[in-house]
Amino acid sequence: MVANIQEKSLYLPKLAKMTKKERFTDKEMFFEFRFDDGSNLNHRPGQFVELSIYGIGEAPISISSSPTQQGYFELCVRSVGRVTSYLHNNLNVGDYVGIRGPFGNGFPFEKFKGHDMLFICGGLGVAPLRSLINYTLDKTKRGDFGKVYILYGCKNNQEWLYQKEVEGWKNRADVETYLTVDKCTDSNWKGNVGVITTLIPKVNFDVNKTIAVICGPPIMYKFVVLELKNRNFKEENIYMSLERRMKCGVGKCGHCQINSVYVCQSGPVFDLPTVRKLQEAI
Amino acid sequence: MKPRVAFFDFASCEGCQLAVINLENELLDLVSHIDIVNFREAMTEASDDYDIAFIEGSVTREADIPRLKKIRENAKLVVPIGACACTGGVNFRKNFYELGEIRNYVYGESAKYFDTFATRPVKAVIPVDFEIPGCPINPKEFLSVVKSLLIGRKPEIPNHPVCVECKLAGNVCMYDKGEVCLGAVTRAGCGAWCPSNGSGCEGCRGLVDEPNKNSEKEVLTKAGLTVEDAVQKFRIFAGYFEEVKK
Amino acid sequence: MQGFLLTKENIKGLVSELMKSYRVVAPVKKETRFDFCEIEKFEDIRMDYDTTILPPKKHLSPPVETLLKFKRSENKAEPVFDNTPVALFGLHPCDIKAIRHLDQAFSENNNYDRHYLAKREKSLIIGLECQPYDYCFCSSVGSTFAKDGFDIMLTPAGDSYFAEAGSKKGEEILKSIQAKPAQESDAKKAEQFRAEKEKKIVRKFNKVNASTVKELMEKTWDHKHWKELEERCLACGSCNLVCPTCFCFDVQDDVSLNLNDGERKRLWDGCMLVDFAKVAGGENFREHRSQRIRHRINRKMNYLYDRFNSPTCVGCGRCVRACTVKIDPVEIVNELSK
Ligand SMILES: Cc1cc2nc3c(=O)[nH]c(=O)nc-3n(C[C@H](O)[C@H](O)[C@H](O)COP(=O)(O)OP(=O)(O)OC[C@H]3O[C@@H](n4cnc5c(N)ncnc54)[C@H](O)[C@@H]3O)c2cc1C
Ligand code: SF4
Ligand code: SF4
Ligand code: SF4
Ligand code: SF4
Ligand code: SF4
Ligand code: FES
Repeated sequence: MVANIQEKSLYLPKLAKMTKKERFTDKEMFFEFRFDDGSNLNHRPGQFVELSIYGIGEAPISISSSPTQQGYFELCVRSVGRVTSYLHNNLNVGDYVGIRGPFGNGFPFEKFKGHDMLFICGGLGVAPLRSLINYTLDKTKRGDFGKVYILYGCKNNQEWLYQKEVEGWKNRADVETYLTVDKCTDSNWKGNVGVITTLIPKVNFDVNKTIAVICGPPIMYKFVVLELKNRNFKEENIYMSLERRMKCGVGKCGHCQINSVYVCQSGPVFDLPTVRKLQEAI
Repeated sequence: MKPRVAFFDFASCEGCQLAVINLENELLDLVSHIDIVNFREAMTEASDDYDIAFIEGSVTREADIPRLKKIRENAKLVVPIGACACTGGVNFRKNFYELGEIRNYVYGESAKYFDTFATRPVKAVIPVDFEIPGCPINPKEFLSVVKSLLIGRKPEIPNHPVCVECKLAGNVCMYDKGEVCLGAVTRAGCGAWCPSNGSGCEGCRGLVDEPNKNSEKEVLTKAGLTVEDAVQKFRIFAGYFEEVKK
Repeated sequence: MQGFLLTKENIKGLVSELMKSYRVVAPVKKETRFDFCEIEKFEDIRMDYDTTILPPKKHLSPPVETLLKFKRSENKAEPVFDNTPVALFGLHPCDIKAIRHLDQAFSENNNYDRHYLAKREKSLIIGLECQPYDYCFCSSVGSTFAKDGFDIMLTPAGDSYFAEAGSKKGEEILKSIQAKPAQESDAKKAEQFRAEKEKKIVRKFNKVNASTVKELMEKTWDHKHWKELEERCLACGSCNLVCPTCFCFDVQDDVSLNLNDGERKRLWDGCMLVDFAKVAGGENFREHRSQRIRHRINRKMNYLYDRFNSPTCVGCGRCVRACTVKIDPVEIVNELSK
């Protein structure tokens, strides 16, 4: 057994102060946090934190900001249960939460350099992908990547997250943005109506040099992969971020296990060939 | 402002309110965080202005319905407590007999004066926010729900079976002692009260989600119960659940 | 390392020596069963126990364990480490191996769980060679004999016990009680006891062994037997909770009546329970009991194999014993390999 490691708890969070809180939809809110000592999270796009509120509990939340944004980090949280609803209803700017992490592997963006990028986001899946999108679009990094395509779908017109930023993406000359709603609930909506897979045939990407990155509700992955395969996408160029129940984030509690891997350790980002080897993954 | 709490009772033994009152010391601490405005067992004056309504007892009479609707209108949170209020409890057993038969059995000659109808849990009449099951409720769990509500946390009633708490307590399984127990299909939260005290679980907290009723029946019959006994055993407390009605 | 011969009197001396500086936990009678409990006197120990309700794990990673103490108003928390020295006395080889697995689980991936390790580093393990009982099957998973993982190992040798030290600490303790060095013939007797034990193990995998069961599991993902188990299993989680190599946990916060002080706790959890893999939005990644059993058995025989270099299951048989519908890893493996 390994002795002599510092007497430190894996489960002790570090405090971070809420510095922004903004409502996106009925269920989702946007938050900015800062550590009092001004330090950075030092995360990779695709990683997550355990957000902790004493007396309430902990929840894994994807880091939604790019590491190129320094001095603070951003989360987009859907209110579904104890921690998330408390964060929405009881905490305000100036209040503190506990943060553990960053955890997980994050996207292997070094490998993406020199490629075109195809982002496919379903609903809240935009939260983790926004970190990588904004990283790719950052002026210090933009040169590392080729064309950028963003596909983003929501259930209806009331559910857009990061609406202003999405407008910004749409207006950029170096980004092709495609939006869709499953069900149109706004008579002014001129965009696509249909599930996210209906956008894929509209995009004119080069399968030889494009990396696809997918994040969305569990049911979405299979269909998106099928559609990409229809376009002859190479399996090894398809990446996805998977959700599982998580308690510890440090490879101990067992909740996130898919077959022989712990998603909090080897994931949440996997390439499709790896996912294919895991029977329970998608 | 301190949340205002009210207690109401319908058809029940009031055992659950007693369970609350027996929390004497803890209640004293609690009372510094809440105002109890309506508690039939503990005080006499009543108020219609309350935030949290705890409801004890099952719905057995036509006249209960408007009373419940009124409570729902007044309260921000409605929390049925105890088996009677959550699942119909022991009172639900009468639904397995002809109504006339049970009326005569319970009330004898005077049966015709009572407007009793098919017993139902509170949630069958009005929407409820949370439920605290058990016959009687587990005072510790009641406290933990109240504490949760006071700090703004969603209370959580376990969705695992009594066996989990029984194992955590290190008990010898009742089946090892040649006795029967419904712990495997009954919702935990009582701290495996009965097996920890040497008797089998009677299922007073109701069934877990997705119980494997057939397999549990087989376990009971293997342990020496007839199928009819086994079904009866389920009906004592779990009558309301679709799985058992079938 | 040199062997010693301990008479019953010596064992008693050993236990009282331990009681001076350790909380001594040993198998004691509990109604119709046995359990590992803290003892007050030597006479409480049952050297003849078959198996215990809960594994000795409960004294290293307790069913409910406080991780942090916090104050809500100040947003302050302190970790809680309990490193009271504990001596685990009378562990059978299967349970000794199981603790090796725990040691690894709580320290792998460069994430050291000090809540477990602090206690573990202060602990002492005194093993006791055993006889198989109705449910165990250690020879199929390679845990019949303990080669390491103990401080002292006791093997019956006639009326006495042949004692080997497995660590410096163990050796010092044996010396401190002035145990008599064992003779060649004592070592032989112990050897014989072990040989007989091995012969008496009747519950076995028919066609696979500790190193090939992994391949079997990989080939039988879609086997119809999993569906058959769906009908029987109650999803009660008992099999998880009594297993010496289940280490999954849930985390919950408790607040006291002043609504300010509180504790963050971990509780034993089990992958057979319906909520274990459920996430917000209602998706349950192992919705069916058949999927959960397949996960559990794979976790015991296959999934962690590469990390632990062995099946995770140590064949103690507690899960079968605890299961009211007698779902049994040996039966499952034999059915799958038919
Ligand atoms: C890697 C990862 C990244 C995530 N990123 C985000 C994000 O950016 N934004 C966001 O809003 N949500 C995200 N989630 C989901 C989020 O973790 C859950 O919604 C949250 O844990 C629910 O916690 P709660 O205390 O509010 O709910 P609870 O009261 O604990 O439970 C409510 C419901 O949530 C489910 N649940 C409980 N714990 C978890 C868990 N650990 N993971 C998933 N579901 C759970 C329960 O089954 C229950 O149905 C992410 C999850 C993972 C694993
Ligand atoms: S006594 Fe009952 S609750 Fe306890 S383990 Fe046995 S069946 Fe489950
Ligand atoms: S053990 Fe069963 S009958 Fe007893 S209190 Fe708990 S749920 Fe009710
Ligand atoms: S499984 Fe093996 S080591 Fe464990 S008690 Fe049985 S015979 Fe002994
Ligand atoms: S295998 Fe047996 S002990 Fe395990 S969950 Fe199923 S019924 Fe319960
Ligand atoms: S799976 Fe069963 S036999 Fe194997 S270690 Fe766990 S409890 Fe013992
Ligand atoms: S979240 Fe606990 S092991 Fe992955």
